[in-house]
Amino acid sequence: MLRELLIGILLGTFTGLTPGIHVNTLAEMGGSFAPLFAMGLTHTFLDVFPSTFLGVPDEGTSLSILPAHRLVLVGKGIEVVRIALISSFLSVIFVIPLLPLYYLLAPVYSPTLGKIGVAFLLFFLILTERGSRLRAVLVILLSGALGWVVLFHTALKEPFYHVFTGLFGIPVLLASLGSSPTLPKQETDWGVDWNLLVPFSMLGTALGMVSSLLPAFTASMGATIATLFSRDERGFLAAVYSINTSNFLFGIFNFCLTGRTRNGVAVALNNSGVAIPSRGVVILSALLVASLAVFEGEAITKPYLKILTTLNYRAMNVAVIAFLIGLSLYFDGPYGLWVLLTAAVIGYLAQEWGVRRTNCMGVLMLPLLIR
Amino acid sequence: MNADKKLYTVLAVVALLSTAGLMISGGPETSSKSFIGVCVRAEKSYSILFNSTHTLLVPKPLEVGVVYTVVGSIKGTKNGLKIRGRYSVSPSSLRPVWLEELDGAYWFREYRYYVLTPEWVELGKPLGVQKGSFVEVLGVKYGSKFYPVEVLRAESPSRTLRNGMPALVTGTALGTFGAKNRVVLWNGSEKLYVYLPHGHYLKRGLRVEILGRVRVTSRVNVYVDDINDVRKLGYPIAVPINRTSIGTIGEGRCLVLRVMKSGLVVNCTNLKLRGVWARAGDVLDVRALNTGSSLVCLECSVALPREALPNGICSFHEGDFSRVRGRVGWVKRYSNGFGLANVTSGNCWVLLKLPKSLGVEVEEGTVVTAYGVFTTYRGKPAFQVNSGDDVCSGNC
Repeated sequence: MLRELLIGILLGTFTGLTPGIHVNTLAEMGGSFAPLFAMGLTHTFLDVFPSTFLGVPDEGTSLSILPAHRLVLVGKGIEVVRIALISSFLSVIFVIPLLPLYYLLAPVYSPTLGKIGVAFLLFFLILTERGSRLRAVLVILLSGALGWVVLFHTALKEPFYHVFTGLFGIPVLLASLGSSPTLPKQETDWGVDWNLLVPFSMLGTALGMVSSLLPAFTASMGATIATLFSRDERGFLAAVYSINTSNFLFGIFNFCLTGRTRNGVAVALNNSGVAIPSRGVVILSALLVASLAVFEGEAITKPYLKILTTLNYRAMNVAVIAFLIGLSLYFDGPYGLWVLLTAAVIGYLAQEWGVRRTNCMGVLMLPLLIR
Repeated sequence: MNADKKLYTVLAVVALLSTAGLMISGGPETSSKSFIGVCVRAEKSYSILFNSTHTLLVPKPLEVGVVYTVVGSIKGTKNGLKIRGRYSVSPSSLRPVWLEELDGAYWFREYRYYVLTPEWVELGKPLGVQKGSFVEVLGVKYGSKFYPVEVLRAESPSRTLRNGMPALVTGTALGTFGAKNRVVLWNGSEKLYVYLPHGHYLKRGLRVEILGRVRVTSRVNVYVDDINDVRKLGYPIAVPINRTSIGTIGEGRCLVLRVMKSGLVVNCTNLKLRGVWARAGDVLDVRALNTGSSLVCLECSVALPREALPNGICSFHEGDFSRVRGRVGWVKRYSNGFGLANVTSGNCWVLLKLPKSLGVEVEEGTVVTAYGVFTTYRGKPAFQVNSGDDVCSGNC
């Protein structure tokens, strides 16, 4: 089993570090429990790299891009990575005491409850908008319409890739084209503010638990609630990355308990029909993988940054945009690119109008409510 | 600033038009396939279609037992076919060749539905025909259940008794066997052994129509799964008691001739009367059911106690039942225990036989009353009683 976990960590490292490659892409290949589980968990630790330094999000980290990018531009990129690694690790620990509660809640969930939760969140988003509420509603409606069309009226292979990369990734990369051509020098000396990380990680873990119960209630949506508790970028990032990890872990426990598939790895496990180990084994595996992923993340940070700093940052961003467009074409051809560009226009609008980018999550929320 | 506003407005319109364009164009050309299958499972968020070899997961609630045509991008997984992205699903009037026919009797119990062939084939949904009907159903077998698509033929429940199949039987409850919910039913030609649901019973003599499952062993058993399958038709019209046949009710007035462990011997029928207590000589008003081997009282009562019978000592007629009363003139007891007592009343007398088995002693000079039958003893008028209870001394 240890060998399988290590293989999973390697695969998770690949999906986590490569911009645009989601863990689901590899998970579809199937396999036994240990590698799939380790791959998914490692991915939640390491996807901080492309999202922070390259502005390339996936479903779980889309909302973290702007604050993370801001910190990168003031030379605090390494701090973002460490916040992500530590809060993800804390999340794995905080998941354990929440499990008994989760085992009570998971079987009670119904689709109607999910809709009520999403409607409440949507209402909440509009009410707490600090910018123009009218524009926020427009962004929600535009992204919602796009989501409805893409999810229910097209047959794309990777609909989420185009939508999330377009809404959250491309606008950030485009904005960064106007900044310095080189990556600012990143500070390496900083201390861990445990007083900040621990409570926000706990909050993020609890929100991740909720998001794993409700379909389409993604980690990003949970993060929008976290934003209400702090305007501090670090607290927000701690919450986002904790949500990301706990959402994955609880999703696996949900699958073990109810058979519901709340993430790509659970779907792959379900399709493979593999034997599910006991709760204790899953917890121990999670602790092992989390520890190794933290060490790995720490070890990777400097070489990763070294590569980035030797490159022309602006050129690299252009290359990344080209790579993302290439992936879009690869996945679904010109039609995928069409979706990506439409989503990018909406994401760009949200950015330029100065409304909360979380409103772009209307792309999932509205289809869920309408359906 | 105004230029920015215009740009953003244009961008918003472009995004909207682009989204509309996406919808109208319908997305990339995919290898669109069609799948025709019967819905075998429908949940709030998904349904499963089955075409006798493959399953297709459709992410919307459909109706179980309906044939659907699905067109879209269908992908094979280890857990069956799944549909991705845009698709269309519509009910179909097609009846694919892989649909199977199933013949048998429709049955249900405890919210489960079956066709008895006579094997129990569980159905995925109810048929909407009368319970017990003989049906011909078109559908598909999936897992342990048969999912009916169409009922081709449905006939009323049969009255023929076939092993393992339901039947509609009509008859009179003769009594119980073993337990209160086990009823012997006479259907006019044979006895049926009916097993009612626990806690239910039928009153003796009641005519019923029962829809039950027949199991033929050395006898015909009928199992009733639901008490609602028992229709009470009332009691049959009573006939004179000497004209009853099995399953009919007789009425009349009868004199008890003899009391036996197996029942009362009465003067109105050859069958013994059971279910009532009386003494030899009592006159009964009887309403009883003929069960074949005996008459069983439904309503029996003593109309005239034997004490009210006239003294028949002067009306000797051999073989007649009578009450005799008189004074004991003499008593003679033989060495074998047999005794004789001369009972005299006025100018009439009779020899009262007193076998040892009666255990009765009478004394000279006392007044005795006896209930029995006139007979003779060595050519002389005699009187014979059947038990010690039928002889008493004194004013009785």
